[in-house]
Amino acid sequence: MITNHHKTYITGILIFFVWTSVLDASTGVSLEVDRSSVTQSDAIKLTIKVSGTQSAVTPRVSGLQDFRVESGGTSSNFSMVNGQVSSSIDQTYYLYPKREGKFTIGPAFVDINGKRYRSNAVTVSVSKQATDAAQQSHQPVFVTASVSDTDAYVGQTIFYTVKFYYSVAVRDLGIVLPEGQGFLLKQVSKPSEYSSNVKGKQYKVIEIRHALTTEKTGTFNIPPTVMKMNVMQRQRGSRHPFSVFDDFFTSAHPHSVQSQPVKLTISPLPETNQPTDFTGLVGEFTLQARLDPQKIESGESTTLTLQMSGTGNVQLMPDITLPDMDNIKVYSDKPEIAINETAEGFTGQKNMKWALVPQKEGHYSIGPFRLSFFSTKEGQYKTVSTQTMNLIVTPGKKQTTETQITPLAQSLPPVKKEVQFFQRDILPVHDHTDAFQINSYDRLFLWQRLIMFIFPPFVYLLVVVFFFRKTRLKIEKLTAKKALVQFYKKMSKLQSPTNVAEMLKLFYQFLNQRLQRSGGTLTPDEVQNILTDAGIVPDIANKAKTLLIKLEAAVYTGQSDQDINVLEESIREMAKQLDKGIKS
Amino acid sequence: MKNLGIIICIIFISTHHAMAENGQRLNDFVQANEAYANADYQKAIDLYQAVIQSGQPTGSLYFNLGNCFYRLDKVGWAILYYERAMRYIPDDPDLLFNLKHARSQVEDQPEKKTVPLKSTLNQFNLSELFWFMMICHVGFWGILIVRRFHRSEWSYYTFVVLSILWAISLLSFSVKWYDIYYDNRGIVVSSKAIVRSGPDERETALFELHAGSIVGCERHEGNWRLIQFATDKRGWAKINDIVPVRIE
Repeated sequence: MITNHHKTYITGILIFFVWTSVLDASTGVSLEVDRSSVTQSDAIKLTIKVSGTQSAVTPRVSGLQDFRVESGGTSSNFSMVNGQVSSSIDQTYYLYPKREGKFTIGPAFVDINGKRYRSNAVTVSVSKQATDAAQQSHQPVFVTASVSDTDAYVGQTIFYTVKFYYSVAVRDLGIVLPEGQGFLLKQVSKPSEYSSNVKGKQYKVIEIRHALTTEKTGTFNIPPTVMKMNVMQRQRGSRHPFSVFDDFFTSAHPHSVQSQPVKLTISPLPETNQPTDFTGLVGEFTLQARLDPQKIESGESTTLTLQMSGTGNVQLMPDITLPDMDNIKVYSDKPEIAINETAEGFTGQKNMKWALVPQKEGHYSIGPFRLSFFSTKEGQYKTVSTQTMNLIVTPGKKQTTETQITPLAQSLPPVKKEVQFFQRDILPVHDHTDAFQINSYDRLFLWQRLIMFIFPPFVYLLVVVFFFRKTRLKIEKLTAKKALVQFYKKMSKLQSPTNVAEMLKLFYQFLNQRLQRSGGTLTPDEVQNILTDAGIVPDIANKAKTLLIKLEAAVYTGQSDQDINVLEESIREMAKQLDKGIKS
Repeated sequence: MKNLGIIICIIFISTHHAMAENGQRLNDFVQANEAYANADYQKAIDLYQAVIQSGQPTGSLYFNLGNCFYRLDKVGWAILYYERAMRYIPDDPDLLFNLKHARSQVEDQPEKKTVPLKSTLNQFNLSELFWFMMICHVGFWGILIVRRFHRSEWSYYTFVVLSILWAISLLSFSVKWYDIYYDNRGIVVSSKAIVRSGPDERETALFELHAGSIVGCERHEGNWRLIQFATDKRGWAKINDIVPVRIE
């Protein structure tokens, strides 16, 4: 017997789960790159995250004209944490810079359910390829080391970057960093992996960044960094030249490579013009102050906030102490500091707060506050300061408690008392006829319950075994035969013939449908292989691949070397040829 | 034709017999209620038990029996029948009120145990959980069939929701079923039960329990039952002093 109370409970649970399943955290698109500073030969991994959907979408990314773009595949994510459901699709692309410079990638645009979403944009700086990398490009494995600044001041943040290039299989990698010499190296982030093209040869690269700190001055010759590893080599002389087991017969040979030594000059900070409040801060910094509110009554408080931010040895940002101020009580808050590692070095922000409580009315001047540091850009000491802030304190209102007592007492709710029993006793017997109604579960026999339980999976099994197999095959064959007709119809319905992305999407849909594939994004190389396997002559398969490369280039860069009508005609012609050639 | 006549006769006789039985049960039930109203509690107990033995028990019948025993100042037996009624009507406000009142008269302080989510599960009876599970079960397999033909986004989300509900309902029903069919609780029904260190009158008396205390029952030897009242209170009590909540 399900009571109303229980019905509400069960309905509540159902609504809760349905609600959480449909609810997505938020729909949107974001764009990120794995590194913001690369050389001209390196690849950049670009990830476009489309959240709040599970359907495939085609993003349009601006700012890719200076890069060669390769698709890196799509992955979809679905998660449910604390009842919060989120789903997203990550689309990955590899960007190969065409020239050096500073470029802005993005924003990316996607259309979801008829609404256009816009992502953030990122900046990437592309520099020339390192000369030592070019010199060693004939080696299958080599290592380079470099510093972010060869002429630096003591206290300045310097990054020591080790790049390990390899074009053969390696394992058990070990790094021996240079030691001693009065400097310390500390790894600052996880090693990043990417691919790079050195003099036409493709390498995989592992990049490890270290922060170099030293208190000494002079010229350092940082010894080479050594990488130790086992290089995997396939064993020769297999009895069966095309044996599938050949890949298993590999041997490991210990090998080590070392980088070139790096020269580094550390200059002392100049002693002349050194400010008296200089605390060793080196880099570029700013200081801002805010007083909120600037007009208060006597006895009230106002908040003074000082924000110090900049790039350099941010961990040395000093605590500023307020001078004694007459008739103002000062209550300081704990300073908050946040440090980040970026391509330009360490950046940080320090927030300090004080509550100021003036004891008397009047006008008060707060500040100015100063911060001194050594500017590495200008090669001299600098002092930044805030402006003087004015605090106006007016007389406070006199308390009128006496007149307020009576209405306050009247407005208070009466004190509530717990209801007390006079006596205790039990409630009477159930004398209604429902009292001997047996519940629906007990009315059923065990075999009836078992049959009820087994019936749904049994029906499912029947559908799978007897019905579904035949029907699905029929449906798939019919769909494959109609693929070309549907493709032509959709192409004709395209509202804007210049929409290359949509044309590409339709062409992929046609291929999947015609080849009876379950879907998913393919690369042009994969398409060529699949077509060849499906019985297409290699020449046409190759033409299909070339066409797809052109289309993808037109989608990602927004430019095409062919007229759009010619491109459209080529797609139609290619679809026709493939439809004829594919063996059903 | 002759066989058909025999079958009709058998159906008629058995239906008539069932109706007569139901009539008798209803008659006993009404008489039991009258006896209770006239403060003839022992007669009411006999009649309620006759109703239970002539068919399947219900929560209200056990509840009424608990009331009768309470009126006879047998708090142990009253709590026993209230606990049995809890299996069928765990959310009945009359039952919860009377059980709480009866428990308040028990002399022994029970050990407090809290099992997470158990109190939520205790608000539902086995029948409610069974039908909830069956709805989820049908829904789960149904959406699997639908997804065989129609793999759309809505069907995916529905599948996820139904999978979770199916797992929860299956687990809830299983836990409840286990609780009922493997319930090892027993109620002290005599006014005082001496718990000894072994199954013999000559063994050391460890402690005593009073009517209405709930214990965990384990094995029995002869006329003695091994019981556990709290983590550190364990021993042998006479089998007649303690009655299991679960009906054998």
